[in-house]
Amino acid sequence: MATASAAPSTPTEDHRSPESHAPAIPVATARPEAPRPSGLVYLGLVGLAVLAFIFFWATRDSGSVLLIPLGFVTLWAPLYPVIGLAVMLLTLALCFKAKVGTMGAFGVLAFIIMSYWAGSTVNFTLLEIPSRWSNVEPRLMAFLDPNWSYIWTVRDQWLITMSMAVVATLVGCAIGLVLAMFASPVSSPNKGVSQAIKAVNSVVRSIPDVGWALLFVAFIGGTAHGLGPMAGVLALLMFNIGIVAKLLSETIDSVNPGPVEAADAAGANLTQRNRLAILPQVLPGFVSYGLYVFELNIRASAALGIVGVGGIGSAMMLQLNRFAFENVAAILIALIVVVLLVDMFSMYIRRKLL
Amino acid sequence: MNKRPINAGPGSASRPEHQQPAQNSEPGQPRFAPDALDRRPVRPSRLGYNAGMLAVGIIFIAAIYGTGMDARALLDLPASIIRYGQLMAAGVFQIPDETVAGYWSQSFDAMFESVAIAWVGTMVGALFSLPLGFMAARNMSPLPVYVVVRFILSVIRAVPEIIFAIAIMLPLFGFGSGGGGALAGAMALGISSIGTLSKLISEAIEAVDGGPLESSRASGSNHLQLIRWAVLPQVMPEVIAIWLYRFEVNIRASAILGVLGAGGIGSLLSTVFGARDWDRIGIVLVVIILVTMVVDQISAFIRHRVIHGPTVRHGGGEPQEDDGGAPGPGPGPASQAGTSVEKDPAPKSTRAAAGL
Repeated sequence: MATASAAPSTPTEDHRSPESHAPAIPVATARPEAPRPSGLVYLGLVGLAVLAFIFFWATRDSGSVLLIPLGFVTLWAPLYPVIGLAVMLLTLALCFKAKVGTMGAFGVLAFIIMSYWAGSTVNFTLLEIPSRWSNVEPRLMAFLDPNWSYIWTVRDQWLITMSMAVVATLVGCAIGLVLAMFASPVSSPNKGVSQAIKAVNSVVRSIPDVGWALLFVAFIGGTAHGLGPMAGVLALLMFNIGIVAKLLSETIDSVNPGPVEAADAAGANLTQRNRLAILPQVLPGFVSYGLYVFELNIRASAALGIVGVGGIGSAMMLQLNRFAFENVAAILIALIVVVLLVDMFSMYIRRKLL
Repeated sequence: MNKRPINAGPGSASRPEHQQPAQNSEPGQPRFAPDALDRRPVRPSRLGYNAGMLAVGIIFIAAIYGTGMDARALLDLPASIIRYGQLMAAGVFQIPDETVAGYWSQSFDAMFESVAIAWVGTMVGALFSLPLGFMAARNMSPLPVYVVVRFILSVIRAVPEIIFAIAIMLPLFGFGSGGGGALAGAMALGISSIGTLSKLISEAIEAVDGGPLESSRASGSNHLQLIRWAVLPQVMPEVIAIWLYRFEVNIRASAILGVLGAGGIGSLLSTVFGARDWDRIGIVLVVIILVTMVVDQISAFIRHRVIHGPTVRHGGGEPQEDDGGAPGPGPGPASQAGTSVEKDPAPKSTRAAAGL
């Protein structure tokens, strides 16, 4: 972490301006020392570590206790929070020794606190793996011995999945392009529109794909009503709009301003300007985002089968609920092959187009 | 001397003197005769483009038939959006009594559990992705290692995370929020993060500036010292940015694992949608949006700070006091002190990770 802090060193080469600098004394050859970080802020960080320790203590759910005999009295403390505190203090001491700046030390401390919190929330432990390995073994065996004859029986489902991915990608990219044009301050009519579209887009983006799928399945009915593909396409559509609009509006932000200014100077209106000065510049990026999103869609539609959108995912969940792992394994292997093929195909197109 | 007409047409300025046909013609003749360079450029054929567009259109229409979508469902959609939207809004905006407050806190707990799952998953992925990224970078590792690691990574990237969850992690760690499901989800996310993370990191490493590499080779450093002193300081900001992106992605991805029984917001979502309890659905969605947006903002701030270094005051040119340990200000920012850094977007390779 403390790597590049070798202090912006400009010791030599400054002889021409002796007024502004100290005269060139032997210091010029020595490597400049990093400034000593503020001890007071470090004390504050120690306080933060102690606060975190109290929080960990209050929310612990493991009963392990550390006993600290002091001779006259035996202190006790929960084991894992104490380990956490020790790690935090040790890290702070190391940072202070290495003259890490206060912001860097705060970053490291926040990282440790976050990791401890996350680890204790998910009950992180690897100790149970050996004892539970017997649960996994039969499944892994089934996965290693797939039912090859099953692969061809679900080709209709594959067709539906691919079609869903194509429709969602094309429509999603088209809508995403329009939204991105409105969202980027470079190409949108005014600041208010761009802020509003950005806000809408970040709401769309923050609902995960499975959330959209559940919503649309609830709105119009899932596979049970024969409407799975429709719900799936709509869910993938929202998912794609979020991604494409975000990535593309960032691309538009960093577009070369030359053609835009030229279009403005020639008296183009907004549509003409966007069509002729901005679109050609972002088109390569747009195509590659589209291919990327297509790849995501195939993977996502396999996953969204869980919640009852149509396609290969539904077939997979059906087999999974029957504990027919050989069939699931066959579907998975086909999925891996399809995704790899799509990956290669999109790499080919990208190379061809860009 | 140069009597060429002003309006000699395109290309006349660059035409060499000795080729000018006007040199040996009599005074009556026009001094300029158009040659090949003066022709207007021919518009390139758009056949390929049009054929491509046609193919895309045909595929699109075929795909619409292929899905077997029932377009009539779309007619009911606006009505049901309004109806259920009203129900959800009613749930969100009601005055929270005891039970409703319970719904809110339950949603927040589940969402925080999702964040924790994503964090642990990202950590597991990050742990493996740095060495694998070095192995998958062409300028850092020998060809056999490079080829093998690249292949493994592309297989990992092809497998969706639910497969790791179903096949290995859920039976290994157990189902449910309390019973190890969260850990199973985190491990599945971690394993599947490795592929993307390592690929992006290896691209960052391949794009490294060659100067520091050469100078440390010249001063006799071995491979490890080269990585430590020449490569890591350059790529670390971008690597941290990539990890943060993946963290955001993992929060969203953990929802799908939750539906399978890995805890977090996904489990809650599938419960409330199963019950069709629209009050609670609204509350859960609002919580998801709030927490995700806050986390995204924080991580965007950190990413900006890590990539561009601390904001430097105008004029002085002296770094602020807290410049010290921020993970390497990266290749650029030291030289552009005092300039505005707001316009710089994140590096391209990290942007590609934003969606997944």
